[in-house]
Amino acid sequence: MRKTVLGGIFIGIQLVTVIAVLVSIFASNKKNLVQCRAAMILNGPVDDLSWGQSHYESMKAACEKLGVTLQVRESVIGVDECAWAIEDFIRRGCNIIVCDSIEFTDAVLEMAEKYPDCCFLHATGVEQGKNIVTYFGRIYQARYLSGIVAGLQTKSDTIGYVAAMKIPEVVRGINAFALGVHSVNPRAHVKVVWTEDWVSDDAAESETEKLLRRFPSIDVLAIHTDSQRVLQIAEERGIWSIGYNIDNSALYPRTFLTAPVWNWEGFYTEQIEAVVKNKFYGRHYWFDETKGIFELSPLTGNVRDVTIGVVESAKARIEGGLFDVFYGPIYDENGVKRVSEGENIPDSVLLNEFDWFVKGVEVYEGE
Amino acid sequence: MKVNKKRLQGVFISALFVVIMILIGILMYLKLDTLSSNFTKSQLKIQSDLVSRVVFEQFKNEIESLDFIRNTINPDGSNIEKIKQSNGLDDDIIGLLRLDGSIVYGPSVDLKKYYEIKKSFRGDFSVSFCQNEGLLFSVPVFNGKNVKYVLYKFVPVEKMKGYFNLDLYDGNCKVAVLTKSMDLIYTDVEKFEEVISDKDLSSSIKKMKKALGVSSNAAELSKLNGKYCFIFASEIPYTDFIVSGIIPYKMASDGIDGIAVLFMSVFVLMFLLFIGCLVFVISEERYVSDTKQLEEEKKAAEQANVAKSDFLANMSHEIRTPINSILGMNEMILRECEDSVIRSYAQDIYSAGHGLLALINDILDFSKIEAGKMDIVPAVYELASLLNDITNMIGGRARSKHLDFIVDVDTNLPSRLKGDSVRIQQILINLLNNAVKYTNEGFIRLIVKQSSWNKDNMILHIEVQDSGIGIKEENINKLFNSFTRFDLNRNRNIEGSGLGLAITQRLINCMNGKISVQSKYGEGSTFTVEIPQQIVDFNPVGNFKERFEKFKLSQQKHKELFTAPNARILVVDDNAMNLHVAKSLLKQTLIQVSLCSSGMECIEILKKERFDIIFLDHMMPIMDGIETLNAIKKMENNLSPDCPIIALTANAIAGVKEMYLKAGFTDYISKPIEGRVFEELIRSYLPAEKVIPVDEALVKNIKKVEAKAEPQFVQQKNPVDDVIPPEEESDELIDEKKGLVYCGNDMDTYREIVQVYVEESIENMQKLETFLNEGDLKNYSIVAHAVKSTSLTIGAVKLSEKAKAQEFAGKEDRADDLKNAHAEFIELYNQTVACAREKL
Repeated sequence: MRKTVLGGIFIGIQLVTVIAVLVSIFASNKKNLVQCRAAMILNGPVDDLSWGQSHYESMKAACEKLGVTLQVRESVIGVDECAWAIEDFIRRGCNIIVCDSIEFTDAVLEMAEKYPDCCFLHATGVEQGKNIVTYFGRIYQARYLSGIVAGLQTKSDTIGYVAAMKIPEVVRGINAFALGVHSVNPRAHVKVVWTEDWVSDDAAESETEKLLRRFPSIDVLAIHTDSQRVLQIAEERGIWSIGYNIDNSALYPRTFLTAPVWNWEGFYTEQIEAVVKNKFYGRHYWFDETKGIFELSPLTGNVRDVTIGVVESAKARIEGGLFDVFYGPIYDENGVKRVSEGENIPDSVLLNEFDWFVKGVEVYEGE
Repeated sequence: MKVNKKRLQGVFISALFVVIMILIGILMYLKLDTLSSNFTKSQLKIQSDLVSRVVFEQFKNEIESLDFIRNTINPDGSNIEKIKQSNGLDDDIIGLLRLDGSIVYGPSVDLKKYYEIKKSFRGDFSVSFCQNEGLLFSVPVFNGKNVKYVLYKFVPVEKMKGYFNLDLYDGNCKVAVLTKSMDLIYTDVEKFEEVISDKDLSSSIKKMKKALGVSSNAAELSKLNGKYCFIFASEIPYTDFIVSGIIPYKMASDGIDGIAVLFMSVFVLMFLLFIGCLVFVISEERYVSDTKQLEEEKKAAEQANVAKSDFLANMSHEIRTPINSILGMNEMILRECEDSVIRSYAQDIYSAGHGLLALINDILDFSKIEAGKMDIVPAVYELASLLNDITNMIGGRARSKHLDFIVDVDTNLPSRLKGDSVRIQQILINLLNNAVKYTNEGFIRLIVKQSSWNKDNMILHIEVQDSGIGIKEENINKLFNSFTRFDLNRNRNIEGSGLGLAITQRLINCMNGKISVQSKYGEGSTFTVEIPQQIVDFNPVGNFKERFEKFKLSQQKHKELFTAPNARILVVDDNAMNLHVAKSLLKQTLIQVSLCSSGMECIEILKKERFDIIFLDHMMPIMDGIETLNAIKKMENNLSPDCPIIALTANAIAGVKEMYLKAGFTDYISKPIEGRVFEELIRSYLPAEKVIPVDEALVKNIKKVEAKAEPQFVQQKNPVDDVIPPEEESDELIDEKKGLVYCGNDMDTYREIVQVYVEESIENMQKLETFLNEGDLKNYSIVAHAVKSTSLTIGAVKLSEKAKAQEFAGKEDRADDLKNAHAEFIELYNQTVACAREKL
């Protein structure tokens, strides 16, 4: 009897060993793959038909492709709310946090330090960290092309530009646009107003109205804001419009010309995969035209026929590598030569220091 | 079938285990393989990172030297040549480009081929490569904040060989520097194109490329020319280049392989151990299941045995009750009947009944022993007394078979011992009885001595020898089996249960003794028994024969007779015959005996009358003895609350006494009730003042006074001795033997009685004549009755019968018969008296 008990114990130990081995085999297999839960914090609504939507849809598609759950908090305003939202998501087990606005920089930096195991994807961000990937594209190249479209489209040589705020990113866009306009229409002027808000419809509307009241001859409106009000006003008034972020040509069939648009899906897929494979590490991406992250959306029927060829050739020139938007000679709004012929503005300036406007740009700051 | 099924199950389970273990072994091996290859991979990644760092450092050096030139260059770049010369960079291909790709200094560069140079146009350093041409390092040259020129250094492919000096794993690892699109920059792999187009390798390269998409380094296990190898790659920081390498599996996992082999051999060992254990456990399980089966069978057998015991116990009750009645009534016949023929029949009943009782006792003893309930009760006893009894008993039997019974007792034996004398006696009687049974001529010898002793203990050594038929050698071993008898043809006429020796042996075992047999077939047997006993008195037993005689005498003197006319006894039994027997047995003691036939009745009587002893039967319908006892104890109006209550039982099995004492009885007596035991028991429980000892003189007086009454003294001897042997029809007027019986075998008493008889006779004869003449038949028959009784007392059976006839004739008013017989009666009377005178 005692012998049987001993035997039983031995077999029991064997079984335990076997189970332990099996568990270790399968458990360690899993260990290599990180269980992912993604979260997204947007400064606007997910269906803003603009920046937020471009990121949300790309992220959503990427997550669905990879079987990762995605939670979203929309219309988050300011650093504090963003920080709170990030902590909330992390408490709920999220380990990939996407923030879509440079406004959130401080929150991202703080939280990235506090939660080093969490992976942060910070669009348009410039401050890096071990677990922060910042990313943007040289979308100024597409803006340059859209400037060509505007320059060729305007008859009054007066082009309105409703922009969010004066930061290097926006300044870069305005300058690239203006350079594009001037490359085909040196007489044309670009009239800029600040909404001082990325998403506010009211601000966008009032600034647009202000701009149009001041410059009633404006016949092309370009935007660098996430509000659609500008485009709606343009459609109502019969003013040609150049959108941003998403090709909304179907919404404004009468007036929409084109838009520099984003497609982040490939990038988000890569990044989530990196997290899953535990190969995520912080760095900055500034994708150029070859990556397919951005492009100029197809020109609509509202665009003059001649424009297409000009845009194509300009695009080819950029892709050729011997030209870029900010190659000299470039004069500033005051007529001072900032970049000589054969010179280029280096990336460091474009990203972080750009605070002057090229010739032909006029910022309207009100009466 | 069941066993087979279990076995099959066991085999199935073990097979399952083996399969599982093998699977686990394979899994473990694969896992281990993966682990070790993963480990190797991670090692390789680290290695490749190191290599890429080395390459990067080399690149950095290039960039730094370009930086140096950039910082010392003129705004128009005209002094490059000078700088080159002064820094010993004559052999290097260095150039200066404008943003449109035009040359300021040095050879022209096709910007489309060196795509990465764009970085320099945008203000960053860069390293570009063009296949088959070479590497191009570039830095921007600023004019203020803006980028004006790009300074480059070109390293053509031809110079690569000395440029990269990558030596890994003692040259066993082949390394290549590639662009991310796998364009070869430099390699020490021979026939590189062929190698990377290898089918197995190219799929691994694809995997590696994918991994590089999300990481800075990667390693893959691959196959090249049928041999396992690792390929690995690592990004060179800040460039679009990777360092890649290929290394044979063995080289990379050197040492780790050993771990796998070690681990697997340990596993195999464990596996074998496991199999061994499994086999062991299964066989053990089979053993256990067998044992279980055996245990079940044993249990069943034990249950059967219990059933047997129960059956025996019941049987004892069922048989003992009727035997009780038979023997009790038979004893009455023996006591009261004067008809010698009937007495001889009763005698037969007596011996047959006791034979039957002995048989049942044997069976009961056996069942007790089997049930382990045989209690050995040590007590101090006189060895001589024990031997006396045996000698007494066996001597008679031996004599009746004309055998010599020789008793040989060591005179130095201690006189008093402690042990279970009853069982020792039983053993001796069994052995001696057997000897008597199986010996037809010759002798029986009982030898008693001590074989070893110390201060307190000794071993009693007993030998029983006979010159009987002996035992065949092959049967000696079976001798102690129960119900075994040998040579049935020869021994058919020998009675016995066949249990005697089995009981004997078991009893001896119970007393830690041993028994052995030596026998020669046809010549005789010797049974040797050795039983340890405690010594109480060292005084030697001395000459046993002398002591025997002395003892006999003392026994005879020790007749204690008593009457207790004031004592009241209640006997409760549902069996009327038992009640009758009990009452009859006590007739001579003059005790007032009340009888009742149920527990309820008993309780009713106890309310009205006072008793000195109550005998309570156990087995009664409705209210049994124990229930009645409890009821009695709870009674408030019990007139005799402290009176001893003694159980009457036919349940003569082991443990009964304890059971009755526990139940609250004062004592117990087993049925059939033996007169002597019964009387002694009563005497011991009666209050002393009610017991009137009877001496012999008194007996005589009583006899004189109440001639017509039954003899009043208690028969102290064993009933066997009470029996008056059947006698032949004697012509003698007075049968002296018969007369002696009524006088306790005392010749003096007898003479006294005869004297009285003779003295009375004249008066009696005168009275008879007178009453006859007066026609007073009533008084005539009273005198005749007296003559009848007194005549019988002296043994004058014929006269007694004649007197009886006259008595009855008188009682029945048959005057003619009486007158006709009178003369003859008187004549016989005279003759008898004359005869009696002669005896004086």
